[in-house]
Amino acid sequence: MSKLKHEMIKVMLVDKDAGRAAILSQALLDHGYEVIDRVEPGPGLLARVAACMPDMIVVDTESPDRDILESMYLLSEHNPMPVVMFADADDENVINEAIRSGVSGYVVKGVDMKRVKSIMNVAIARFREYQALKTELIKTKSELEQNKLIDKAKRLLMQQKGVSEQEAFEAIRKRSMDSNQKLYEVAETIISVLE
Amino acid sequence: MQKINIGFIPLNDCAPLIVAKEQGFFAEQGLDVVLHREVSWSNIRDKLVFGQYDAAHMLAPMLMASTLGIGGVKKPLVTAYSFGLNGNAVSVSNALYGQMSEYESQLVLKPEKSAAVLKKVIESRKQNGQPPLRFAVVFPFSMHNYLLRYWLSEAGIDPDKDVHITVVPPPSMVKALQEDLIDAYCVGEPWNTHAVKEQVGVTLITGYEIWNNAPEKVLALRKDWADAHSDIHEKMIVALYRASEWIDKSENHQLLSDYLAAEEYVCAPHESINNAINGEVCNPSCSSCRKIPNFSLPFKYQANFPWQSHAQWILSQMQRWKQIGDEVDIKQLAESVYLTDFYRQVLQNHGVKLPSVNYKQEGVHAVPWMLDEIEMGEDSFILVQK
Repeated sequence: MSKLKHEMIKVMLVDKDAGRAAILSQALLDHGYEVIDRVEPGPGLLARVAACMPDMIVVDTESPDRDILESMYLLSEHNPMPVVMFADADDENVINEAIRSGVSGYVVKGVDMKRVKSIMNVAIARFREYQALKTELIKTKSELEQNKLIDKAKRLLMQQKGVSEQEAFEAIRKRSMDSNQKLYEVAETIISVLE
Repeated sequence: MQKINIGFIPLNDCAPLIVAKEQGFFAEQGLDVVLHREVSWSNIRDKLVFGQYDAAHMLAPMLMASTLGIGGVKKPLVTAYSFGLNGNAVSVSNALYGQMSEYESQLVLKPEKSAAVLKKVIESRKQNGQPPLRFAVVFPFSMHNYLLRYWLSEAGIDPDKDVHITVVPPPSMVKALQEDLIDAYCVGEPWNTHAVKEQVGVTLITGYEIWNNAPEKVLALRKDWADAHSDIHEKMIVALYRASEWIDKSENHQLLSDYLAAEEYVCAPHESINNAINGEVCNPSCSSCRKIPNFSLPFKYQANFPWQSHAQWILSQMQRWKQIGDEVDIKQLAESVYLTDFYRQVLQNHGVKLPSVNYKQEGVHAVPWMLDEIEMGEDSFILVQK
């Protein structure tokens, strides 16, 4: 997502109302966003998203396609991206609440287009936070996995070479430095040989 | 009278809300209910979670997802009323049905064989280097998704590897099939019958045949709201129960169909609405419809009883398909989301005879059975025939 800082953000607009979509397109353009595609709602949506790979999607909350877009979040094979909702002015309280709670973002339709930029910025920030959390979680998990491998290699060395835990660890570390491999990579090799 | 806002999705199974409103069961309880038609499940969930609605017609697994905070904002939801059982079916495109027919003729009359035949098609496609079949369901957290996956895996098909499962909104299913964007789907009525009548697809099997009397939609409330308004919640349950009882009487079916067909509610032709009410599954290659009496059950066999064993099954499938981790305490979560005791307490006060337990053993009853002198429906899972 680092390119968000430097390049124009590519937005895909999903709206069946062509007039409203045109107004929003202009507002987005004025605020430095690039509207790469304007899509009619429908089952072809997923294919279009995959084809044009936007950085962000803006959709009317009254579109049934919200469920399709939300499911994209859950399907890891798709590149996750922020989805901004476009809702009725009547729902403004709900929307404010939603934004505070971390839903990517809602844009109130028919009102002040000047607010578009700040709402989009909040949405992107929220999304980044969420992605950072997810990345952190994956990292923590993989560190755990790596530690498990190292422990296993140590155990095998202790059992089969009759060395102490400290000696086993030193052996792994020495080999890691000598071969310029990571500790867990050395551990993997040891396991594959000794097991 | 306090105004109560309830959101619903235009489907046959939202009927108790419409009947309770139109027939005055809400008014009898002193409730002034405003019904709001919604376009998507995500929308209905967000409006419930953020307080725009007091209650909502919702896919049962969405309550667990929201309570756990997956796919949306984390907010504990509860239910004490089920809108009914069954109502879904699996349909395939004409092209896929054609391929399946090469292995077995008259497959529309052999639902128990359909998944095994599908496996043969999938294997042959793999050998020929063709892409995997594309299936659609209505939402990642839905009985449609879990029933489809259950049925596929019973035939030895891996739903994550051998096919591709995507999400398409119910009213777009037929169009997606027609435009060759998907090869098959699992959806509620009238979207299976509609595909057959438009000659776009063929219905292979009903949800009832995959799991007899499976749960579907429930009345969802925020836990904090339900705790603070147990009096209103109680009245809602009584009104909806009366409505379900009314729906079950055949003499009311004409009026029911009129209510559902109305523009502000489901807005679909009477003919399509009636198929599910009458338990008819139509097929293009047969002159008559296949009769599945329990295709959709609105009231009989304790269809409105919120079984914690249903909630546990849903959670077990969420674990099976890696939507949630093994650390989730299924039993405890099922108890916190399904307020079975509350339902029983409310209706016992109104003289309704109800099961004394919150769980039943699922999958062991091949025929209707008695529990506390109350007739219960069968609950078997499909045995796919090779």
